[in-house]
Amino acid sequence: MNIDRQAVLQVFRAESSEALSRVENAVVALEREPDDKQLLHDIFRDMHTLKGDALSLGFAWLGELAHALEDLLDAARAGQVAVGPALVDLLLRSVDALRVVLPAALEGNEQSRDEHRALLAEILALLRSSTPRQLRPAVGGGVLWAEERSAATNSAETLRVDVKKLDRMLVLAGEIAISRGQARQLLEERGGAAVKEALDLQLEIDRQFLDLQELLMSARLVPLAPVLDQLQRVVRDAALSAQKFIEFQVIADGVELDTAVAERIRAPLAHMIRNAVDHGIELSDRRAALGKPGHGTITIEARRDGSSIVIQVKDDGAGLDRNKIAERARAMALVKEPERLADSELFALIFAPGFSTASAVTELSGRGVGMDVVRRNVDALRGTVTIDSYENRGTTFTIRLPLTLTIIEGLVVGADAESYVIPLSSVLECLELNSLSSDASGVRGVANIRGEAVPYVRLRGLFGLGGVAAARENIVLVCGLGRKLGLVVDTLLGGAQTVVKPLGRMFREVRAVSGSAILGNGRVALILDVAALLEVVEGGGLAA
Amino acid sequence: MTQDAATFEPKLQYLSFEVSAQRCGVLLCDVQEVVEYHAITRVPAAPRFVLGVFNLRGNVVPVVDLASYLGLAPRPVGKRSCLIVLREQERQQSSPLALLADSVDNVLELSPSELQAAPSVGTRIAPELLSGVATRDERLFQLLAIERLLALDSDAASKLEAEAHAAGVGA
Repeated sequence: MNIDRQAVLQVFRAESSEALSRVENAVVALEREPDDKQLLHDIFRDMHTLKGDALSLGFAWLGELAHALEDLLDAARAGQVAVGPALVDLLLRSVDALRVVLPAALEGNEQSRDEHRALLAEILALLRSSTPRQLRPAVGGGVLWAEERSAATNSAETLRVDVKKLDRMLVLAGEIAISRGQARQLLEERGGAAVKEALDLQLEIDRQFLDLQELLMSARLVPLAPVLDQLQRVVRDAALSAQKFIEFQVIADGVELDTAVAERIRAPLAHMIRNAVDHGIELSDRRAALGKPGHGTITIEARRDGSSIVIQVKDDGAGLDRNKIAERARAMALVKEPERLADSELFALIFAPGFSTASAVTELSGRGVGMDVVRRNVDALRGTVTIDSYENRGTTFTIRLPLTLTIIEGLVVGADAESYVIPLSSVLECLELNSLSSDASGVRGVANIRGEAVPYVRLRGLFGLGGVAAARENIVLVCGLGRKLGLVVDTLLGGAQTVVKPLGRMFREVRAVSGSAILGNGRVALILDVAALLEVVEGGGLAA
Repeated sequence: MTQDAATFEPKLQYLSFEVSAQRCGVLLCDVQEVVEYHAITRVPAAPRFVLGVFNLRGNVVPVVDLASYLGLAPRPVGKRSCLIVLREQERQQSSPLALLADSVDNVLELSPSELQAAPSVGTRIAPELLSGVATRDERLFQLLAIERLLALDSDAASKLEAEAHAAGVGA
């Protein structure tokens, strides 16, 4: 009985939070299209369901709030309450309130807080006064919408599955992959006709297994569009408080990515959008003076590119100010001659920790607080972020993320007795070191790659492995944070697709390593974090 | 089994093992399993006392060098070396953790009255790393404070480590 209730509550939790997101998006759309009866109807239906579910589960206060909102929406449908800024504002605040009340109820401490009781009183007051009457907006500004609605609402037959279960399946698949490799190796070593048949069968199983593994991986992928849709509210609120007119576009049809990545990219995107609204887009009169449209445009566009997802956040605002960034960079002693840097290098400085924390400087630099946090978030997802910006034409942030964090395509290399996995996405090429550098033992050095001086680091020395380097060492050229680095290793062991296993909190201070993988021989190999390695080589230590 | 029938004292079961010639024990209920020594993958810039990680049936488990953690001279890995895998503690949200020991002996049953506080002097292992001591057959068993070991995996880890370092433990 108890377990049943837990299961029901879990479904209620998931469905109601989805319903609230839908309501939020619909309310924001309603602001743009006050005459759209369908939107009103959709909101009503979600609220009606929420009320019913809440009451049947015994959440009286939640039910009461939802009931009042349902009545209000019903009155709005009947034309007794005007659909305008006042209603929109009240509904959005109600969504916020429900987002607080709902989890509290689920955790068993459903209480009516003062501010929520005040909200209920407001709803009821509006209901009582239900004569069609336009209420005045509290704040100027607003949002124009031109969102390309994705056809995400095709209600295919779906099933909710605990992500942990999927992860366990992937781990098991990874285990099978290892046993598979061992079995094949064994068969190959034996030889003979009978074994040949077994080996053929084994190869057939391998193909089927790879299909299965790919399916399992794709089960973790979720559409990106709903995540981006949730940013509408962010734009609306930011635009309202900055008194700017903003057109917001989401283009992400059919793009899917790992649920863990999707969840963790939302906050950085919201941050970038707020910055674009606050500091990127100019006020209307300024825009008019520049001959630009009165309303600014922010576009989020996502597309798949191989095993990566590219998300671009574009605004048509003022663009970054080279001079101000250079000034700040000099003041912080980040670089010696910032004005000599190329645009991309100079703009990347805004990601430096502390670059834009002082509010006065923020205004000057034209970018908001905390871009270093954005970069750290993206880094943690094994992604990259770059900036393009043109004065008075706008700024584009391009974020590149791996499709999934669970599986990594890697190049396996050996140094001393250890093996390491280098993400294939950052590998440029592999060369023999001997002819490229004269220094045969130093931890760091510079190699001459077709006339280009590329810094390198010996993993053996960097990681303190000891022992003697192989007579013929290899250098793996990698690219991270837009820069090149050579990793000197003893041996190249080939490519591998492996399940990523986090190293655990005990190693959270360890830089240069992003996780671990279990190789075909059953041993654990560390996965190198190229961006962090670059920073380590450029002066940081191995421990954070 | 020694007889304490008169007092009906519940027995505590400890796994007894040897580290650098010191007899130690941990509560058996804290132990998930004991496995033979596995090849350990070194992790650069790992916390002190941590040798690296190994593959326990698909799980990547960190290994603590118990000898250096306890401030004893480590012995080379031998035939009887083994890894004592500690159980995940839900309240600490810790993942499994393995301890490298020179050998595992047997299960020791102690009645609570046999447990004594760790003396402030006289043990080879710093008293703050112990939950207590017990003597059996004139041999001293040093019972490890498991929370402290598991805390290596928690946010308090670096702090504890710094303290231990300041106290000269494991130097």
